[in-house]
Amino acid sequence: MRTSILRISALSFIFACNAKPITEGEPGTVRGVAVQHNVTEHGIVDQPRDLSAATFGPDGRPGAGGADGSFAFPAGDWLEMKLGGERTFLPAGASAPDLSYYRFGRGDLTFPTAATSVAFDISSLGNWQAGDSLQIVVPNAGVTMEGPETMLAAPPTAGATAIGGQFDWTSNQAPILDAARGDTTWVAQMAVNATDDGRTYYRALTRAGVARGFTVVDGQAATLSVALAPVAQPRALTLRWKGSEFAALAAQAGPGARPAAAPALAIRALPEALAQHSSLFSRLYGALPTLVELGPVSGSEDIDQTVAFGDPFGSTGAAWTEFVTVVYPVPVAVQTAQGNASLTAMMVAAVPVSALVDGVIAPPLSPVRQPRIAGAPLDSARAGVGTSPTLTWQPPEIGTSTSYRVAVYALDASSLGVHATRIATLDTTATSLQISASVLSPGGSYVVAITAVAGDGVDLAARPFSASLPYASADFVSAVITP
Amino acid sequence: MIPALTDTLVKGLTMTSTTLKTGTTLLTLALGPAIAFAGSANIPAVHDAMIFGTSGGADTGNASGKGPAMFAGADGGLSMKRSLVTFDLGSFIPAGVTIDLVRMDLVLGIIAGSGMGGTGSNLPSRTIRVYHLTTAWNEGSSGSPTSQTIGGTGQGFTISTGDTSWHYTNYNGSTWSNLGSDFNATEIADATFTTPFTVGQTCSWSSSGMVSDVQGWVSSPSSYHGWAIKSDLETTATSFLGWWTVDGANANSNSALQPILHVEWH
Repeated sequence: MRTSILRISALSFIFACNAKPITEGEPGTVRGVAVQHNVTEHGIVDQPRDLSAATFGPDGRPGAGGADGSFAFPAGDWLEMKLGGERTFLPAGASAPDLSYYRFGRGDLTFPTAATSVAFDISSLGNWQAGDSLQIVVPNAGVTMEGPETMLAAPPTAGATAIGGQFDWTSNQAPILDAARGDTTWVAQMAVNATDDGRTYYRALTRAGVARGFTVVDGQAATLSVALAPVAQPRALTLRWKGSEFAALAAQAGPGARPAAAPALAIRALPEALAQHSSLFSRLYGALPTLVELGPVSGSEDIDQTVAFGDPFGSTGAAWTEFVTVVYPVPVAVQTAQGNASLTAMMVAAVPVSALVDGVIAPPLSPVRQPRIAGAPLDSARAGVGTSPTLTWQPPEIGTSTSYRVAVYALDASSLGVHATRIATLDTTATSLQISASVLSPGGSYVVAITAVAGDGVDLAARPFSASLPYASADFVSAVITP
Repeated sequence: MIPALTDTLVKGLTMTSTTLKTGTTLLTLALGPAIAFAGSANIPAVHDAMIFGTSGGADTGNASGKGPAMFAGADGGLSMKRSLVTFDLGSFIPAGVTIDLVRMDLVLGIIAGSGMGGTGSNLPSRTIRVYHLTTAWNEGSSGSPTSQTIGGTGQGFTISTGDTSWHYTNYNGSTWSNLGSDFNATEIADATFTTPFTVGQTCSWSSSGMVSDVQGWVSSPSSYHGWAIKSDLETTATSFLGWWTVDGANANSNSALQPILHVEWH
């Protein structure tokens, strides 16, 4: 049974009135309020986004963030903030950026602090085969736990129809679950099948069940008891993977870039509301319930594989969307005098199954073209670019990008290797930007990655934490630059 | 730019072109003494294995000579996993050359810590170090026939004759001097990987220490026992990263999955 999504306001009247970012008239300050939209099985629950640990503005000109979601940027050429360890720069526009985001699951999760043993009592499996896997999904909490059986002391035996054993919930960083608060815990069996060409395999969600009343209490033993039943597989899709087309673009991802060894290809599912807005792109859509996943398909060759699938998760709550995800990781070995700094340029696509044309999975977006720094091509090392160089590029050859994100990596060389650490990101909708003067330091070595992003209405410069499906991105990773 | 992945070795009069396993081309001229020029190669692993220790540091008794993957780190039960690897240096690197650059590439096949969705967000930063092995070891045949899938192989397989393990270099004969393999205490390379991890991602290590090791092994092949791959988090639950082995690559008919050592020389 499907129920419509309800929007539940858990906020004060004042907050509800200020749910949209605003710019106040105070000169030199850009203000707004950010909302965390928690997409649960029982509706969307809004709460203020806690920005009390964030900083806004460059050193010496601090802004402010509050637990009530409020923020204030000192105006400048860039709006600078630090939400974690990394600096983010947004263009100073006519209005404040929207720092709100949609989250999968409720927003009040807590995590166990003491050892919390969870015993498996999973029955009515299909005959277990080597390569099968379990998946635990708790949509109300936004939890997807892949392969929990690998945490057991001994893997399930071939032919088994039941799984026992136990593992520590805490060590897997899984949250406290509470059936009384609406947490419905699914356990699903992903059954392995050989691909038609026999070269590799795929897994499909074929059986599932709900562990009625499953609750985890910090420090107390619990039992995950569930009997699985077949999941209807009413839909069939021939995935026409065009690895050769992705491989043909690999060289555009940076100097020395090579085709991916084994791109990740899957059919995943998520609540419909998250198809419209989510920040899941930042996790490469890898944290979601999986209906079908292919084994290590070739990054350079094409393959056609017909899969049948069903989605049990929408049966108890809000409507869900099924979509194909592709993560094509292109290794880029950035050459330095001390060795190679290895970065990965990603080509990412997340496309609703309903939007796939004839099942073809080809690159929807290619990397930017002609990336340059201070006028010089970025596919060769560049010295003396200054501490505030201008980057320029041309839009991708394939697809229409709606935003660009530039990441700056600092290189640190020692006898043990060359390590790259992302120190800043800058968002824009333009095809050029001038790196803020405070990012690059004289004497340092850096790499920049320019990500082209495509999606209906996706504007990372204005809404850095929100994208809709279909979504695509493609990275270009530069050679070393030195100020 | 990285040079073209082509070896050039001039030895004599007759020129032949032979495509080797990884697509490296070897040009051979049978004319006079060997003269080596700048070149490079992508060298496949010749042996790879995973070894298993208990949370207390004892041998679990399992091995994985022919398993599809090799891990570094700990599982949810705090059992430790380390990986051992050697590459086919002798077939690819000419004698007498000077090694300029070494990079080991492993393709990620599994990530521990899927509690919040399979991206390893429980431990968002994982440092993996490479150590110089000092004792010879044998790959063995446990895990044969090799599975196409990695899941379920992370505890290894019943040890069989010829396997290496946490205790044995060659079961049921010689043993390591130290449980968990014998290696120089100072690592020769490290790399830190951060979320979001993704299967199929290439993890690389490249350092001057690796250059020194390969240079030494080219000069003294008998001392070549390969590298141990070890996680800083091997006493932290649910911390492992796992990479495809040669056997896993073969099982999936995808040579791009196998461990590769990229070497450049002059």
